[in-house]
Amino acid sequence: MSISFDTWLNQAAKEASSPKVLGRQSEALQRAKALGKPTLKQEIWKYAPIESLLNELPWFQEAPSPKPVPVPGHSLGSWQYQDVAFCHKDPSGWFVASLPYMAMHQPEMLHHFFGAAPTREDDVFAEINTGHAQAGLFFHVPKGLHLNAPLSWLDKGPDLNPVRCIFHLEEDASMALDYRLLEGNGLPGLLNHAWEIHLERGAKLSLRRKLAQGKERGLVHHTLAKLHTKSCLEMHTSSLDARFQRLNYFVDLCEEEAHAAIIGLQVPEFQQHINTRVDLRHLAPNCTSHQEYRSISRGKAQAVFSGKILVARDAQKTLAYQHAAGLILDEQAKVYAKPVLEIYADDVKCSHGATTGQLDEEALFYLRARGISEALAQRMLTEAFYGSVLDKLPQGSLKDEIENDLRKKWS
Amino acid sequence: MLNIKNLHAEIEGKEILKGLNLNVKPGEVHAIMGPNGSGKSTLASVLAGKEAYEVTQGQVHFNGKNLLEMAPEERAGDGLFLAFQYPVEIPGVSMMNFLKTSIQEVRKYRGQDPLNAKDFLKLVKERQALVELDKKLANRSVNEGFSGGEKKRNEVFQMAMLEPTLAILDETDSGLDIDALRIVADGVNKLRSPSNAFVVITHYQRLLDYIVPDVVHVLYQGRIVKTGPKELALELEEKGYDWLKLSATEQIEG
Repeated sequence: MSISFDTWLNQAAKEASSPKVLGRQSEALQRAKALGKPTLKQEIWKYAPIESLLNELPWFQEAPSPKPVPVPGHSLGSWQYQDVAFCHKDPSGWFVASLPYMAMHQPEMLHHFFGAAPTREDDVFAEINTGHAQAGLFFHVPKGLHLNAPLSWLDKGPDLNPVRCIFHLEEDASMALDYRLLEGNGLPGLLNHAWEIHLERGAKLSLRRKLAQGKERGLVHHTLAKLHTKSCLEMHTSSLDARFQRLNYFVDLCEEEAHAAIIGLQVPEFQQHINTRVDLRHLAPNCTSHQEYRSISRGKAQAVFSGKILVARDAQKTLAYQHAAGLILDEQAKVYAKPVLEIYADDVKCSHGATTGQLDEEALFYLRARGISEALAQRMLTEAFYGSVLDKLPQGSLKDEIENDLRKKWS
Repeated sequence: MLNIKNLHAEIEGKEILKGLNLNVKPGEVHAIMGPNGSGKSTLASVLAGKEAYEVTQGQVHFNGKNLLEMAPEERAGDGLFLAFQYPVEIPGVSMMNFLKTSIQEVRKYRGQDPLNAKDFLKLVKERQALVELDKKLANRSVNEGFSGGEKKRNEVFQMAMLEPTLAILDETDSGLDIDALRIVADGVNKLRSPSNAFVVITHYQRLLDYIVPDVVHVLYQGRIVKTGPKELALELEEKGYDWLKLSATEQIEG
């Protein structure tokens, strides 16, 4: 790579004073510049091999990327998030459009939401994404509209430039999305994606994701969510096949009775590193949250889950649950779990737990004593370990697909 | 069928079995009794192939094969069954999936064709009735949420499904009330035949009122110190183990 991380940050921050750039973007780039290149010394990167990764993988595209290839066979065809002409407007009133389309045709709407959900201001990639994303999709569901069938999106992640998707659901609207991030052109690189979520009163968004961008590619992905009264965000994420993944969930329950569920499965193997960081803030009374993460580590792989729940002084009657479980299948595989609770209110129920271990020897013996071979018994117990998380996905193609992917891994 | 010669076994460096001999022929029911810590459950675990136990001396032959060289699943395939003293709960593995996998794996090992779904379900129904096992339990995870009695009945149910030639019942009576005890014993009695055999490990004579043994052995300090007809169990019930301990100690020291 011809340009160093810090040089690039300096240049970007300088350009950020141009009148074309939104105020929020400019601020984000200034923060990025102040944060500088991530190092292992920073608490949020403690277990992640981020320094070596930045030396090995291109993390920013210098030349414009080629036009994405349309992907046939999916309900909405290809969603070209760089294409200035891409807008799919449904007769019922919801639409999905590329960010360039929004910038051209609905700039006020774009500017109202873009970068408006808070980051934690400590992750340079999240700041770069806000400061520099020019491609992505904007989903909008108008008041009271329920999308009956889940949308399906197959993303081959062609671009190393930051990608940002914005979900805006108006009052009492609901939608579900099945998302697959796949290997694409397979060229090495570090992708930087952010999903920014704005849920108005009573809105409900369900995001089911399979992240498998391939053995050559890294991904930093940020979920930035702002939930208003009685809104509900459900996220179910399976991280299956990735050289490196860092998932940030920055979720704010801003008004009463909002609910967020963050459920996931991370299955690194070989020398892969998959790392999830949840920073969830209960900022208003009577909100609920549910975190459930399972990690299975094989070979020399590492899985990390660090989950923080903050309950603000005013957020009485908070109900928050967090559980992280890890399964280590090989001697050199690792699973780290770091739960953090920070509670300033006095009338709350917060529970958290973390367990990590190997397959239960007693259970293995029991199965083998019934004639089941050791390999098959191990597979059954491994499937049982992640089954409770997969069972939370609705019946359908994504669930079947993930089940098959996992089964292939064990056989 | 089962031939144990001078079996020594230890766990974590501690010797538990210290030269055990036992001979079981087809059609026989052997009861093994003995005080706590005498090695009864160790014997069961060693026969089923639990890796935590190390056999340091002796031989075990099962239907002519060297049992100690076989993996637990091969032993099961060859017709050895252990009814666990503490059946293991396995969350996330459904009873039905477990049973089906077990049956098909054992059939594969025995060179039999897989059972089709219809015949499998028929067999499940039939054998569940044998031990009066609640049909609802089949929808749960293995042993999860089962009462103590249900777990034991579930063991006998699995035994009925797998039709072993040698079944070892490790304190299957412990934790059972009288009705459950009778049901479990009836199940075992219905499975008795001239071609299979049972080794019944128990603390109490009570079970042997229902499953009448051909031979009773007393295990003490890792060896069988007395063998007798079924009446021996009654004698033990009456006198306890102390008189045997005394004579056994004399025997060992002498």
